[in-house]
Amino acid sequence: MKYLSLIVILFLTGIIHADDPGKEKIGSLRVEMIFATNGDLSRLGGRGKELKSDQIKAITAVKKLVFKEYRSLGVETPSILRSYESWATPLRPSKEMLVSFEPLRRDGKDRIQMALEYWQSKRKLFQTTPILIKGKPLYLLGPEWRRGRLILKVELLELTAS
Amino acid sequence: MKKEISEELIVKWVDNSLSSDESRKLDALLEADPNLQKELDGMSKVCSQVQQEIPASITPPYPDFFNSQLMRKVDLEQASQQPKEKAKRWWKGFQWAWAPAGAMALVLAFLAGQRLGPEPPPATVSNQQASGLTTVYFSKDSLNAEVISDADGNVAAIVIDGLDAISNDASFVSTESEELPVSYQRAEAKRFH
Repeated sequence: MKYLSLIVILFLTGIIHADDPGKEKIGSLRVEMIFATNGDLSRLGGRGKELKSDQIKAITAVKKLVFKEYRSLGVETPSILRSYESWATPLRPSKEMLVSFEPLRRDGKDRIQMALEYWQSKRKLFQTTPILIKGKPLYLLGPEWRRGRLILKVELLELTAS
Repeated sequence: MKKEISEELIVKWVDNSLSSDESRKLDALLEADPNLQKELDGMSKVCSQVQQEIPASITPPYPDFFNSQLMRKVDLEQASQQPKEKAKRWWKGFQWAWAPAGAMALVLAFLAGQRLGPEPPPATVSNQQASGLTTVYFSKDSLNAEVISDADGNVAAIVIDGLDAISNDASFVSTESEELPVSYQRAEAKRFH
């Protein structure tokens, strides 16, 4: 009996120390913070990179996102873990604006539904559950800043087959 | 007086102890009174029923008969309870295993949940349904969201209005004095373990 108890305890210890399948990488995102304004870019103090013409074309395809100027303030490409919440801080080194994401379910090939949370510092501004599709970015028009708006661009870069 | 005589004769008839003289008297009474025959039949029925209900007495075969029968009954009763007690003892022997078995069941259930959770659904939902699934939750009631879909019906943008403007003094260049969400700190801690 004592030996059997010992075997069970060893088995449990093994399971606990085994690789957690929830931490498996199943894909990656591209999270970019874009500043969009109809005003003067000098308020940015020379910060930010210009967007490529095809990127601007993709943004302006959405009427509500049409502005005179766009600047990329930062990009991050975090991994998507199978069943864990992950975070992106595209304005690094600042962590003032944060995005958390967690897969909810696959929706066919190259499609996944995610739980996205948009945070400003300790404050969660909103949360949404979009289906992200590889090659089709999702734009989230966020708060005002320096007479412009912050646009969060979330794009599914890769997704494993299973 | 006549009735008293007839009752006495009936009782004796029931006990089968009539003399030949009494038997003749009873026959004469029965011929004179037809109701007496009915009474006699009724008595006869009651008598046979009572004999059926009450078992014949048994003479003890030996002096200690009742004690030995009682002890035998007790032995039989104890013998019938023995298997149950054995079963109880068998389970008692495995009480030590409940804690690790319960813990193992919890771990397996957790792992099964992790495996099953993110699996794809059996059927792919249509684009129209997919866009309908996008929901937006706010921390404040004053906020408003508009979900914009592209030509294919996929969500292309979510416009959030009513958010507090970020201070123009915010430069997003350092991590100093930034307060981070507890869930972020927890997730970061997990990443390095």
